[in-house]
Amino acid sequence: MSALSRVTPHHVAAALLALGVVGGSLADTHPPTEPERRGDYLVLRADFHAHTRFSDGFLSPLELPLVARREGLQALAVTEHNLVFPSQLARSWSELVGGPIVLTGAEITTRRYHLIAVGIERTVAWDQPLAAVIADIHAQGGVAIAAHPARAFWDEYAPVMDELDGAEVMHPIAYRGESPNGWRWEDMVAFWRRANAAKGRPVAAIGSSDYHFFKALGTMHTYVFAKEATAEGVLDALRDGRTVVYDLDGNALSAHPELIELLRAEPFRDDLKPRAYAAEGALDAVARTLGWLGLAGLLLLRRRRAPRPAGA
Amino acid sequence: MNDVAASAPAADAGSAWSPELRVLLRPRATYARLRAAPDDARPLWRGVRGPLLWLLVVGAFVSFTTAGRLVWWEILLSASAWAFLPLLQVAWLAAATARVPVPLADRVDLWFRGQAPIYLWFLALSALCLFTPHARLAIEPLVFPIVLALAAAIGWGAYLTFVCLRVGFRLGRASALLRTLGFYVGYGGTLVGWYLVTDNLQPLLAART
Repeated sequence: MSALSRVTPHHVAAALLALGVVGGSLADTHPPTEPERRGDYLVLRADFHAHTRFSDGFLSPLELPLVARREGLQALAVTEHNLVFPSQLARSWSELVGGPIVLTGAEITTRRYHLIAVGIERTVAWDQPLAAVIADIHAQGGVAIAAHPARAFWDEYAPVMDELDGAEVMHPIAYRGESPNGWRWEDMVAFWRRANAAKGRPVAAIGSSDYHFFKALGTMHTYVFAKEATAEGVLDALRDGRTVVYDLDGNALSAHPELIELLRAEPFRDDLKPRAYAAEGALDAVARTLGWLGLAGLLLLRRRRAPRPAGA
Repeated sequence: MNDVAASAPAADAGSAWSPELRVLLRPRATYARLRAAPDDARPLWRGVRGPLLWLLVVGAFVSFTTAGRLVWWEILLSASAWAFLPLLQVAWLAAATARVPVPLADRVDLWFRGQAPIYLWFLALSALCLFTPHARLAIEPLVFPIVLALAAAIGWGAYLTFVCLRVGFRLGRASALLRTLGFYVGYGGTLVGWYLVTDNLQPLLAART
C-alpha cells in the first residue's frame, strides 16, 4: 500500500490545522511596549477592568497579560468579581514573561453597585456598607473606581462620592449608548462630572473594556500620566486624577485639562490593533482560513481509511 | 494494527464522517455500532483522546475569538486553563456510571463522542468572528440566537448523554435517565458551587447589607 493511500481526510485536516497554527503564530505580533514621554510624565495606555475564566471570562490570568501586550496596552488591572488571587497570578506571570504592568484588584460586585478596586492584595468583603468597602480599599493602598456608574447605582454612590478616586467614563456601552438593562453612557460621564464637583481633588476619568471575551481587551482604555512606569506610579497617577480618556468622537475627558493640551501638542502614537477581526496581511488571512478548515475537518471527517474492496 | 481491512471492521469503516458527527445525527444507531465494534486503539488512548480533542477545540475557539487566528501559546494556555472542565466531566461520569460493566476508558470515549453539538457551536461562532467583515456588528444583532443555539447544543448534548448510557452502556431506560440526571446535577452543581464559594452569585441576589 503506497504512503499516499494511507492518508485519510483526518490527516489532511490535521495538516491544515498545523499550518494554521504555524502561520497564525508567525502573524501574531504586538506593538512597541515602551511608554512615551509627554512633559514630565510617562504616558501609559491602560485598561483597568478585565475578568478571567475564574468567573465569567474566557481567558486565564496567564493569557490576559499576553493579550494585553498584543493589544498595545502597557498596564492592565485584572479585576475579577470579588476575587483577588487571579490578578496576583496574572501579575506574577507578567513579571516572568516581561509583559505589561499588571495591577492587582477586584470588581466588588453587588446588586446595588459595582466598584473597581485597583492595587489591593486582600479580597474586600462585598457584604459591608459601601463606605466600609472604600475604606478597606484605601487602607490597603488601593484606589476605588466607580464601575460603569449607571443611574441605577447613583443613590448608592451619593454618600461616598467624595471618597472615589475614579469613575469609568468610557465603556463598551458607549457603542450602543445604552445597554439592555438601561445603563446609559451619558449617565457615566455625568456621574464623573458630579464626582469631580463634589470632591475637593480631581477624580480620574477612566476608560475600560470591562473585558470578558472576544477581541475587546483595550477597546476602551485610559492614558495614564505616570511619573514612573511601575504599578505604584500608575496608582499614584490615579489618586491624582492624571488620566485622559477619549470618547468615540475623539473628545478628551480629563480632570487635568493641561494633560489634554500635552497630548494635543504632541499626539500620542496610536498603534492599537484594529478592533475588528480583519486579517493583518495575506499570511494571516490564509492561516486563519486553513486553521478553521483544519479544525472543522478534524471534527467532522472520518478518521480511518475506508475498507479496501474485496480482493484488493 | 491500523489496517481496517485486516481487523474486525471498526464502527466507522466506510463512512465519510467522524463518529462525533454521526452520533449527533443518528445517536442510537451510531452508539450501537460503536459499542458493538470498538476500534483497536489502546485503552489509555481511548480514555484520553476525547478529552484531548475537547481541549483542542476549546483552545482553538478561544484563540480564534480572542486573536482572530490560531496562536500556539493561546491554544496551549486556554486548553490548560479549561482542563478542569473535562476532568470534572470524567469524574462525574465515573460517579454517575459506577458499577456499569464497561471499562472507564470506554465510558469516557463513548461519552465524548457525543460532544459534537458544542463543537459545532464553537465552530460556528469562530466562523462568525473570522469571516464576517465586522464581527461586532455581525454578532450584536445575533446575541439572542447565539445564546439560544448554545442552549440547544447543551440540551442536545444532554440527550446524547442519555442515549450513550442507554445504548452505549446498555442500561435500562430508568437507570439511564437517573444516571444522566445525576451526571448533570453533579457536574452543574459543582460549577454553581464554585460561583457560590467565590462570592460570584449571592452578591447579585442580596438586596442590601
